[in-house]
Amino acid sequence: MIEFENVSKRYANGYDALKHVSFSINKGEMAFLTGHSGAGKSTLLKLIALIERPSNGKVILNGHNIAKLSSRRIPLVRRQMGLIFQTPYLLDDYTVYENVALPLVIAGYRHQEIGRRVRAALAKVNLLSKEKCYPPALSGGEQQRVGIARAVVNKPAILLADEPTGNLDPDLSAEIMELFEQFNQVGVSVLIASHDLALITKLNHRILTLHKGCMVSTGVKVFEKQDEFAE
Amino acid sequence: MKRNQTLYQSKLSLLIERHKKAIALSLERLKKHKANTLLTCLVIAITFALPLMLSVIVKNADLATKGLTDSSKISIYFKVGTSEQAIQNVITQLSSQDSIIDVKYISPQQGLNDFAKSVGFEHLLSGLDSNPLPAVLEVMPSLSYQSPEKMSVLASQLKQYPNVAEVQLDMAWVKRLFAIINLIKKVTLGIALILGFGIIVIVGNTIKFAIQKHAQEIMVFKLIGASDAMIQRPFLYTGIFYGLFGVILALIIVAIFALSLSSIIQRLAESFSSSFHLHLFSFSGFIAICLIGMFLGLSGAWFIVRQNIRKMSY
Repeated sequence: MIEFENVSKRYANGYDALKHVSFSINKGEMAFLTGHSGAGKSTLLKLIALIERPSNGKVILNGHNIAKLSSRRIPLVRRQMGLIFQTPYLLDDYTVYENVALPLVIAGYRHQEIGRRVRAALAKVNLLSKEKCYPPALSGGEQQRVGIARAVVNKPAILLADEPTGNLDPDLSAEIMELFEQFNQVGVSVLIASHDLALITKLNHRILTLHKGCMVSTGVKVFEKQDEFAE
Repeated sequence: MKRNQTLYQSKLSLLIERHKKAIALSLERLKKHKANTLLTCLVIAITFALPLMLSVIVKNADLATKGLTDSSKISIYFKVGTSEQAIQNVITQLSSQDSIIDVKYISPQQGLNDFAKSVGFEHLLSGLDSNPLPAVLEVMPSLSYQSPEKMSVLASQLKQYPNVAEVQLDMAWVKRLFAIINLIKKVTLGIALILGFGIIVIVGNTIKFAIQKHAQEIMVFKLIGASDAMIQRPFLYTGIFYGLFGVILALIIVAIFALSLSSIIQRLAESFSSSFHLHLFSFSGFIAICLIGMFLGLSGAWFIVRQNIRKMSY
């Protein structure tokens, strides 16, 4: 589903965010991406979402190298993935329903289909009762769940999440992770960047570890090694 | 990606709906920031009002001078001492010409009487030995000969008649007036071009601020797969609306200005014993002006939107 072949990313200011990174995530797999802040987690996710382009190497999505995809085709790739961020980036002028409906409106779905899918997504994150609310009226956890509903409403094959629990307390974080696992169970590939080791080691999924831009581990049992890099 | 008929809308209805949505979103944003919108429209209106006002002046000057050329005439002065018979011959020849509708004969004696009467020197003139004034024919060219160029040609023809000492075109001042109107026309065009560019800049700058204000919204739209065209559309419509509203406001300003002057113009026209009425805009003129405004607004938005939204690479 997602494959990196010897990918490097150097930013315009000369900073090497990723160095010769290779890994792959299978269809329907759920994996965590961890490492210290500045290790390159966000950059890696941005390369998949085409927010950034690699300086070198291949980023293969569904068998296609997207590293050199023309800018015009970026929207089509993004419509096949759900993106979740630390702050959910909801639009405050739009109701919860309208926020969640945006990806469907953009993709050009029929009205009946939009209504059906938005309510299904909101039911999934337990926010059906808040569909007419505006985001500022919701708690942080609720806002993040609206963000997740918006990411999954289009039934994407891939979910990418960058520190989705970064602003939430442990209970809410666990709840959010459980949601991701539920999506994974219905066949969605999930890649979550998180430095919350305590939380992610409890869950039985592969953990990819980045250290200063290098992929130091792509297996499950590396978090003992993680301590070596802890300073 | 195959489009499933039951899930997706048809391409045409989707395009129409997207334009409708973009228009609605654009109007909503304009309404939300009423004071800003009004201010921008006012700036555009004031910028637009000057060339508009000049064009009204030019148009009315054209209409007014059309009436003026009607009264232009050609005076033929005969050599002093030309016989009455010779003059009558010329009159009959001229009267048969298509280019001339009326010939008025002022004999030397009549000319002297008129002059004396107008100056009030009757007793002095009676002391003159002989009449120093020549016989004069006032020739009124037909309507189709009343342009300055044709009248010049006619005048040089008239000069060829026997005994004619001089032909005077009574329209040097008309020529001057035409020259002035022409100059104002050119100046109006120049000002319109400069200020049209100004409107493009004003709209562009306003749209730039709007883009900055909606930066996060644009980012969200980009991240969930909106194409640049979709994101640009509401801003382009905003440009069109600024242009349209600005121009309509400008028309109102010009109309108020013209109406407040109409009584003065009326009095001026009456002093020239002319039945002149101020003309503003025809319906087609109104539509054309609106289209120009919308085009200028769109252009301003287009340059800025393409530059800025592409640059926001999320």
